Formats: sequence, structure tokens, C-alpha cells
Amino acid sequence: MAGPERQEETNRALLVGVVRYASRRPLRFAEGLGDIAAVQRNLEELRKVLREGGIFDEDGIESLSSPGFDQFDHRLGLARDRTDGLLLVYFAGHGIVDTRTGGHGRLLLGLRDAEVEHGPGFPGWIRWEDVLNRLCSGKNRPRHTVVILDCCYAGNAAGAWEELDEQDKERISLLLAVQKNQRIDAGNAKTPTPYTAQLIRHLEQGTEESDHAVTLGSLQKSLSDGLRAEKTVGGREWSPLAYRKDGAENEVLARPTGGGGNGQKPISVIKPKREPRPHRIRLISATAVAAVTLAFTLWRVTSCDAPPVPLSCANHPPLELRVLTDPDLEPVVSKAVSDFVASDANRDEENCRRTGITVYSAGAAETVEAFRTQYGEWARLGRSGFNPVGTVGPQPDVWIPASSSSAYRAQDEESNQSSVLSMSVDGKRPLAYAPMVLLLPEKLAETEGRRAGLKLADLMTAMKGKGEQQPEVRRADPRSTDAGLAAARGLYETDAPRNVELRQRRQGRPAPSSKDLVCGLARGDSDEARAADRRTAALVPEPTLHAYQRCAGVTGVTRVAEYPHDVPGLDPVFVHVRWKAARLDEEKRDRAVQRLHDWLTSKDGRKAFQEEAFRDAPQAPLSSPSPGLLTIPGPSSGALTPDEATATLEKYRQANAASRVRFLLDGSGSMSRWWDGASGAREVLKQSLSRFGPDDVYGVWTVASAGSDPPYRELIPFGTHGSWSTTAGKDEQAKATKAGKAVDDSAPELSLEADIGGALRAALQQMPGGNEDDGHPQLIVLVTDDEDNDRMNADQRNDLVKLVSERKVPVVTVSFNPGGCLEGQLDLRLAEASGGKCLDARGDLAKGLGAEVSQVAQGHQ
Amino acid sequence: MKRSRIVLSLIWCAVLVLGAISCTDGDEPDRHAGTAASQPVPSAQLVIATGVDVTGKNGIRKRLVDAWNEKQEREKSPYRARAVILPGSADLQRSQMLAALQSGSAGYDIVNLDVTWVPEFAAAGLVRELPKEFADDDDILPKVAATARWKGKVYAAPYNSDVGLLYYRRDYLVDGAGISDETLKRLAGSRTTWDDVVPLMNAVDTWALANKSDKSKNYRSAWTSQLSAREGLTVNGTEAFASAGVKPTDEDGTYSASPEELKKGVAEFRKRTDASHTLEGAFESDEAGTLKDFAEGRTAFLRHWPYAYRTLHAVLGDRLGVVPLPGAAALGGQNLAVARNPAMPEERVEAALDLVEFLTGRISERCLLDAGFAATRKSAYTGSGVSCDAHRTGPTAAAPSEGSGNDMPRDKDAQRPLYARGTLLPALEAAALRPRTPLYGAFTHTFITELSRLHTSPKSPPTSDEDVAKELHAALRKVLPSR
Repeated sequence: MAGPERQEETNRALLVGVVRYASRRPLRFAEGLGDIAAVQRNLEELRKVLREGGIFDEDGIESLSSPGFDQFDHRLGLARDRTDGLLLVYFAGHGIVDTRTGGHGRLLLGLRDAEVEHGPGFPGWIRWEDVLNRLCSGKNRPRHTVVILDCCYAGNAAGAWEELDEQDKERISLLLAVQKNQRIDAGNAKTPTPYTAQLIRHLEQGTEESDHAVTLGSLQKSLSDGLRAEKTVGGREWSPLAYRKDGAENEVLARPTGGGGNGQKPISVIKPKREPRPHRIRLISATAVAAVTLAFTLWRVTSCDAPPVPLSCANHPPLELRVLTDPDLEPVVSKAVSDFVASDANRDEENCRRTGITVYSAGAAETVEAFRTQYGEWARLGRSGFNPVGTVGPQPDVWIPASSSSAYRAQDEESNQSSVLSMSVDGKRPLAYAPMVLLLPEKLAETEGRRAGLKLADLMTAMKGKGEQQPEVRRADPRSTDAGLAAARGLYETDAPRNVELRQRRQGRPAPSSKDLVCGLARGDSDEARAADRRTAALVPEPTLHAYQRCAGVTGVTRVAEYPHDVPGLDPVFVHVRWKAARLDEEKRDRAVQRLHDWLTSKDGRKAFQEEAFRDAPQAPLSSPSPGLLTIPGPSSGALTPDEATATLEKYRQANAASRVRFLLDGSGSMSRWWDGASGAREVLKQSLSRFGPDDVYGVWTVASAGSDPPYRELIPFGTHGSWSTTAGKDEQAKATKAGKAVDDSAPELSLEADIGGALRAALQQMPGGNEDDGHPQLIVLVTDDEDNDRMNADQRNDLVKLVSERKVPVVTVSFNPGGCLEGQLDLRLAEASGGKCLDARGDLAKGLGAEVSQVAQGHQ
Repeated sequence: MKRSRIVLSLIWCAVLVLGAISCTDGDEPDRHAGTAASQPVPSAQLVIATGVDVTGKNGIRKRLVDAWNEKQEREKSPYRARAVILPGSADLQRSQMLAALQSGSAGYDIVNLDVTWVPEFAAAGLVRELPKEFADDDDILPKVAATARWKGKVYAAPYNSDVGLLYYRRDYLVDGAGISDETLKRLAGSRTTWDDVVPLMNAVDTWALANKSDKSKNYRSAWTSQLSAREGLTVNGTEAFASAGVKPTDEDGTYSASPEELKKGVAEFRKRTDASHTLEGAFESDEAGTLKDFAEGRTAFLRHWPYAYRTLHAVLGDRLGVVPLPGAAALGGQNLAVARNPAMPEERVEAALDLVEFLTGRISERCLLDAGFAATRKSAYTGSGVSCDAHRTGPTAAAPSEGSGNDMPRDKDAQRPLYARGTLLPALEAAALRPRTPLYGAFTHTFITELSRLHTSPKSPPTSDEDVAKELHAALRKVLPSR
């Protein structure tokens, strides 16, 4: 037992605080060594409470402010030699770790002349081991030494202590501000650093013991409780540490006369004083503010080398999270998630990564549909027909739609959805914002002062007034991205949806993302394509300008953004998806999702979005000015609401008349190799049929014949065949099931061959009349393995290609031959000549064909 | 983000629902031509999670599963197997398999793992330890067998292998550039290096670019490979590093290289991907894109996997040549593993093991080889008494009238693919493994990121080998344990 009753002992305290650093040269891996103004407070207030604590005399307390290496070393030795009772050594300043020697990362304490440089040297730093050795040497040694370290990586001091002799461990105790491999903030200049603030508070107020004695044991508990709500720089719970042998627990550090006891407020939950900085300082002293800011941020000196990854990490690989997002958001979400995965927030106590994350995107409307009505199939291992595992992707743990409206539309409380999955939408504050802008060639744009605050219709009218040729406005596929849907919502206010969609269709196939749209404009290399780029505006999210600039390089036109106030913007939100069957790691997975959520909504996460030109609030300025964009976006109509989204999709559906699609399914003998199985011809066909709605018209022929027989047989007659959607009426579902069964029951004719040319000619002849503008998109789909293509000679093939070219009905060729779409192959020639698409077995046929059919199908209501 | 409290009864409900999903998902029986599974059997369906088979091999994997199902039917077993095709890229497949096994969000019994994923699934306790003979069998190629083990235990059975090969166009090299058959024969030998290929690339370049005499006029550069920022880049990087004698990790996945060693690997990679010989599009290309570029004549050489042989031969015929990749070639392929779901009854586990054994046995491996896969067993390449039986070939795959014109050349006696024994087998025996670590996901992401910086495009600003090596060293130390 120690304390003032041992009057014969001399107790001393050496308080070292490095407030100023001589070198501030920043390196790439270190943010620089900044002054830490708060440390001056530490020294002043700590000295006061120790003096009042009754254990240390005024003469026994020495404060060293910003000492150099020699001064520190000298005073430390002197303090040790002159103390036979309790020695308290306190250090506050920069701490770093040197991991080059392996092990647990050696701690170095930064003194006044500390520098960070490449190479093995650490000029101006003192190794913690050397401090410890110094305390363990000498003829006269204190009865007990308590070392308090308030610096980054303080917890890394424990390793060297553990290696001490038992006798030395009994003589030396440690109080460490933070756990291993963690950095901490210094707080502002007007208060002590957070850890020392707690220390001072507890030493000052004492305990509820009769003599208010603050022992090492009670102090550590109070410090831990007091910092419980705080986080380290890496976003972890802040856990101060103590290392001591059992006998040192009752070592008394202070016995304040007026502290503790009844009537005092409990100290275990007190947070450090963090007074807001008075505005007055900002106004009157820019220099002072700069210094304070510097101290706050530069406390976070990083290590010279990252802390090592221990071998034990290989024993528990990270938990895998699946993050689904909108095609327009995939780049920014991938980048943000990648930053999170590499951050301290994603490391555990051992410095192992907790979580690995895979980001993927899928069509927005399909995703909502999958959540709303196909959740059963998603969880039940992909039965045939509409299968979200194939069309959307893995079962997500997190979904980040580009518009909060999608998140709300995906929930269906009236169905059995909750028996399969649940969704928690964090709708309080979106992760970011992006207004929809009219991205147009500068020549067609308004002057900068008139680029915001107008209606879309007015901006379009003004654009038409400036163009030499008829200007055009394009947007991405409304079913594929929320931005495309928001754009459709805006465009439908300018003209009838049917007219809008006719104009869109004339400009080409709808792009699956805003980036694809603008890069398609930028990369055109024909004269015609370049002219289209010069006359076309894109109604896209604001950050898309950067994508255009990257794709265009020096060849594109200069584009600027105009901000219509009546087109709703994007407000991506975080949705936590829980699968009811996923119970094996439920709590751990929840925590992993929560950590990702906390990081994405933190300053660091928001910064990742802002670096890609997203905004922090609807009217917030851009984080850095960007040519072509307005720093302040002007008024807007807010985000898309769920009702608006649903109504717009329905208008879009109705504006696009029902499709007319003829499938030619090669049913010759060779196709038996590809007929069944999860990626076989029947399944590929069925998955594409699931895209049709009740008004779409299609028919299926099997192509197999002998001699002069007709080249095809009817499998499904040309007509409407209901809907696979679970929200469709029973009759419609029954019709769809019947069509599916026809495909299921089909079989290839082992003895027959396919007359592809004959069947294709017949299909073209029997396609309903009309032209491209009658509103009914047409398509012929040929599913084959190319085995019988050699039945045609070169002239016959050329004639066939010529015919499809003249008829202008797009032909999608789906070939189980991996070389079907190579140059010169018939499949590719047919697709290119007709304006269709060639898909071969080098890729995912089911997904590819599904996407092609989705482009023309009117789809489900 | 509030969690709802779950009462005990709900947990029990969920367990029952899960059980129902696992055991009675046979309401759409996997009917197929030629099998007798037309009656909906109240069977226990084993679910195999696998990627899309984009390689086009007569649907052989499906046939093998069908053959096992028929065997079960004959033996009156209640078990049937079916494959669930996971979507998209390998990254997405891994993500779904991993997260589904960790959480139980989908009931997979068997997972078809890329060889690089086995340590991760094993270390995480997601797949069962298998009987040793599933990999410790002298018939299985040693390098391939190594991919099925982790820390001395067997966790998977090698299903199909893969190894990098160098394809070339004889019409460019021999007919055009006048390279002799003698020279090409040397290239087909063992222990060739990249330096042996460079003079041939120069020769083709000189011929093609001087007088544009290739018929298609398509020629652009000497070679192409999968250098976009995906797994293909890790494969190509591994091949360059291994050729320079550099191994980034120990056998247990511990990072063990120095910046100086990495520099050698970076230099070799830079040499191979030098702009003077590499197709510019290679830096944005995957397997499908590079196959197309080579088949359409834009390059004279192509680094690709064995499955490309059938397609390329169909297009190019005798104009196609193939040799082992100079230096080291990376081993690819997939292994079958059985999920370690504690709720799986012993009988179900036994059925899964039987299925895995069937799919990876001698006969199945021979079938896989015949269909164009790289088999994992020596006997498939050399065994005289092993052939693929009719059950597994399917009704028409062997029919001479169907597809023989497009099929690859075969040896007359055993009907194996002609290049299998002389080219493919030695390449597999000499192949290099990518780092084996449970933290492979983090490794490959880092490796790709750092190497991409070197060669985003031939037009990228120059970065020294030393700088790239230093960055790579620092980055790998952040993600892998090191001693």
C-alpha cells in the first residue's frame, strides 16, 4: 500500500507535453507533424490537480513543455534517480509505430525535433523501449513508477512491458490512452485532450471512497467508462488500457480533499469538456483558427508503416457482404466501399480486416420487382422463369438505390415478403444528393446566370433557339436507372409520354446507365456520330459530367450543366436487407452492416461521394468547383416520390406499345446437347419469356425439318401469353404458365436438321406489318448452335444477310457456339445487318437475351 | 436501423421453412431428355452452386450430374442433384457462395470453388474436411491436388483444371513471316522463356506491318492477353512473377517477398506487356474479348485457357498452333467442396460425398477431357483402360454426323484431343499456383490495383519498376500477414 502515510518516501511527477514540433514536412503517408495546442492545457491542468491531490508536492512536479530528445532523456533519468516513492511519468504528444522490424509495431514518442522521413531512421523520436529501459536502470529506483501515455498508438506500448522481468513489471504500471494500433483526436485548443480531460476530472473529483482516494484500479475503470461513447479516428470504440501487476491496483495517485462522496454528480459517464469554439475567434483571428484546426487534424499522425497484419488473421477470413446498387452509382459506391474496406474502421483488435465487400449493380426496376414480388425465388435457389439470382445477382445484405423512392416501392407489407426478408431503410438522411441536369454543348447553353431556376421545358425551348440543327434530349433507360426514371418524369411534363418515347426511340437504343449514354455520345467516331454529339443534350445526374469528360478526352464537345427546377434529383439511401434464413451469423452480419452504414454516413463516407461531385445536401455547394457545373444548384423540386416513380413507370410502359417478338428455337438433333439444364436453351428461352407483360405479343417456332418439309413447327402460337408477375391476375399467370410448360415439354428432334435460312425468311414474312414508328417494337430471336449453318453456301448466306438488312426487323442471334459472334460468322452478320445483337456462349446467354427482350417488352404493370 | 426482436417461435418457423426449402424444392423436377426422372420424386435434392459454364463443352457437366441422378434412380436412392447457376463474374459467384454459406441465406450442399478460393472457405470453416483420397490420390496431378488442401487437410476434390497456354497463328508465323517449323518445334518444348517468343513477335511485326500482306489486314500487334483490371490480370501477373522466380507468399499465405524481389517480377511483367508487342485493347480485355481479337486476326499470339482451343480450332482450323506458355503458366480450374452446414443430416452428407466422388472420378475426368476441359487426373491423359461411358456422354454428343467438322483434332486410338497429352499435360505439371491464402480476395484486389497502375494503357505515364515494387510491397503488407 502506498500513499502519503509513507512520509519518508519522495514522490515525483514528470509531466512531458510536446506542444510544438520543429518539423512539419508532410510526407505522403504521414499527414505531417503539427503543433498540438491542447497539450499545453494538459500540462497546466494536470499539474494543478496533482498538486491538489496531496500525493505530490509542488516541488515534486516538473513540467517539460516541448522538450528535445536530450532534455527529455536527462530529466527522465534525474526523476528516476531522485524518487524513492511513487514516480509518475506523463507524456502527451505524437506517437507513431515502426513496423519494419515486425512483431507488434514498436512505439515511438515524438519530441520537439521529431521528423518523419523515408528510411529506417527516426530522428527526434524516442523509442518507447528506451524509455522503459531507462526507468528500469539506475542504482536508485522508485518504489513504483506509473507511466501515462496520451498519444496515438499508446496501446502499442504494452508489448515491451510484457517482455519485462516480473520484478520490473511489479515496479512499473502503465495507463495507456487508447488500445493498440489506434489513432486518436486531440480535441480543440481550449480544452485538454479527451483522455487527459478524463484523467484530470477523475483525479480532481476523487472517488466515493471515504478518503476519496484515486487508485490505479479505480482510475482505469473511470477512464474506460468516461470514454465509452467516444470513437478513435478509425471509428472504433475508444478503449483506454492499463497494464499493472495485481499489487499495484491500490496505488494511490490522488486523494483530493473536496472530491467524491454524496452529492457529487457521477463521474463515470462524464464526457470530456468539449466547448464549442466561440464564433468570435473565427471572426477576429483567422490565424488562431488555422492553428487550432492544424492541431486537431495533425494529431492524427499515421504510422511510418502500417501496423502489421498478424498471422492469426488467416484463421478467420473476413465476413463477406454483398452490396447491390443502381448502375449509375456503381462507380462511386465501389470507391467508397473500397475506402471503407481499407480503413481502420474495418479492422479488429488484432488488426485483421473484419469485412470483405463485393459491389454489383442491377436494373433499378428489376431490382424493385425482385424485392417486391420475387423474393421467394431469390431465396429459393433460382427456380426457372424469372430468377433474381440471374437477373439481379446475389442476395444483397445492403442495397443502395439511387432514389429513396425505389427503397420504399420495394417494400410490400401486404404480401409474404416479411417471411423471407426484411428491409430497414435509413431514410433520415440520404448518403448524398445529385440534382438532375441538362448536360448540353456549351454552344447551346444559356449564359451562366440563367442555367438554374427554370423549368425543363423552358430550358429545352431556349436550347432549340440556339441550335443550327434540331437539338435532341436523351436520357438513360427508365427501367434501368432511377436517374432515367427521374428524367422521364421531367420529360413527361414537357410533352405527351408517347411523343417523348417516340423521339427517344428514334435516337437509338436506350442506354443502361447515364455513363453509357454520355460515353456513347462522346465516343462516336463517324461524322454522323460527332454531329449527334454536338446537337444532343443528356438529362442525367450532375456527376455524369465527369464521366463524359473522361470518355470524351480531347475529342468531345465542351458541355455544361443546366439545372431545371422541375426534375426530381437523386437521393441514394442505405437499405439493410436481412434474409430470414440467414441465421448462422446473424448478429455478426448485422454488426458488419452497421459498421459500413456508420462509415458511409460519417465524414469520410460522405467525402467519398463528394469527391465524385455528389452534394452533401440538396442545396449544398460542391465540395470543389468544377468547370461546367454550378457551385450552388439553384432551387429544385426535391427527390422523386414513390408515387411519382410508380406513375412514371406506368406512363412509360403505356407509351411504349406492346412488343411483337418471334422466337426461332433450333430444334435439330445437335441441340440436345444444349437443351436442358440451368443454362440450357429451354431455360434461356423461359427466362426471356418472363420479361413479357400481358399485352406483349410473341410466338415460338422450333426449327427442325427433313427434306422439303416446312422448316419450322409451332411451339407457342403468336399472340399474348399472360404475365409471370405474381401481381398479375390469376388468368394471366395461368396463360404464362401454359407457355412455360410448352417450352418445358419441347424436345429436340434427334434425326432432323435445322433450316435456319428457311425459318428466318418465313419469320420475316409473317411478322406483322407496320413501320418502326407504329409504336410496336419488333424483334426476331434466333436460338441455335450453328451446327447446320453449313447447309447454306456463301451466296445463300449473303442473300439472307441482305434480306434481314432490308426488312429492318432487328434479329438477336443467341449461339451456343462460343465462336458464333466472331467476325465473318453468320450469327454476327445477321445481327449487325438487321440492327440486332449477337450473343454467343463466351458470355451469359440467359442474362444477355433477357436484357434484349426487356428492351422491347412492354412488361408487367 | 433498429433490429426487431425475434421470438423463439419465429426461429423455429424459420428452421422449418429452411428445411422445407432444402429438401422439397423438387416441385419443379429437373426433367431432361433421355433420363427417367419424369415422375416428381419426393426427393432430397442436392444443390450444386456453380458459375455459368461459358466454355461450351457439350454440356458435359450437366451430363455428369444427369448420369449420377440416373444411378441414384437405379439404386432407389431418394437423392437427386441439380445445379444452381450463379450469375455474372467470378467475383459475384464467390461473393454469393461465401456469404450464403456464412449466413445460411441459401441452402447450397456443394459449391464449385475456383482453386484460389479453397483456403478461404476452409479456414472459415464453411466446407467440410473430405476423406484424404479425394485429393491424396497418385492419379491426381500433384499441382492440382495441392489446390484442394489447406493446412495439410483435404477440403475439396479437383473437378476440372485449367492452365495458361500460348496460341499462335500459323498463317502469320509460317506462311507470312517465314518462321520455320524447326523454330516452332523448339517453342513447343519445355523450359522456354519469354525471350524465346520475342524474336518471333518481332518477325511477325516486321512482316505484317511492312507490307500488310496478311489477308484480313486486321493485324495490329503481336499478342494479347487478359490484362483488364480483373482476375485475369492477377493470372498474368502471377505468370510473370513466377517466371522471374518471385513468389509473393509462402505456402501458408504469409507475405514473404521484399521490394527487391518484387522488382524482378514487375520488370518481367512490364517486358511481357510492353506496348511495342501488346495489343492496346488488351488492357481492357477479358477472356471473351481476347479470344475474339486473336480469332479475327488482330494478333499473332494469344495467352488463353485450354477451353479456347475448341472454338479457335473451329474458326482457324490448321492455321492454329498451341504450345505451353513460355516461363510459368498459372494453374486455374475448379474444385468441388461440401458445405459444412451443421443442419445437414449424415445421410445427406454421404450422398453429397458420393456425388463429388462420382463427378471427380476417373471416368468423369476422362469425359471432361474429351469435352475440352483440362482434366485433373493423369489417367485421363494417359490411361489406356479409361474411356467416357455412354451414360455420361449423352445421347448425341458422340454422334459422328453432329459437329465433327467443328470438333478439335483427336488422336486416332483413344479419341483424346490431340494436344492433350503433348501440350496440356506438361503445362499442367509445370504450372504455377497463385498465392494460397484465406485472404485471397484482399490479395487479388491489391495486386490488380497496383499492377493496373503500371499498365492502365500503353499510353500511361511511365512509372519505374522500383516505384511499383515499393508500392506493391507496402500495399501487400497491409492486407497479408508477414513474418
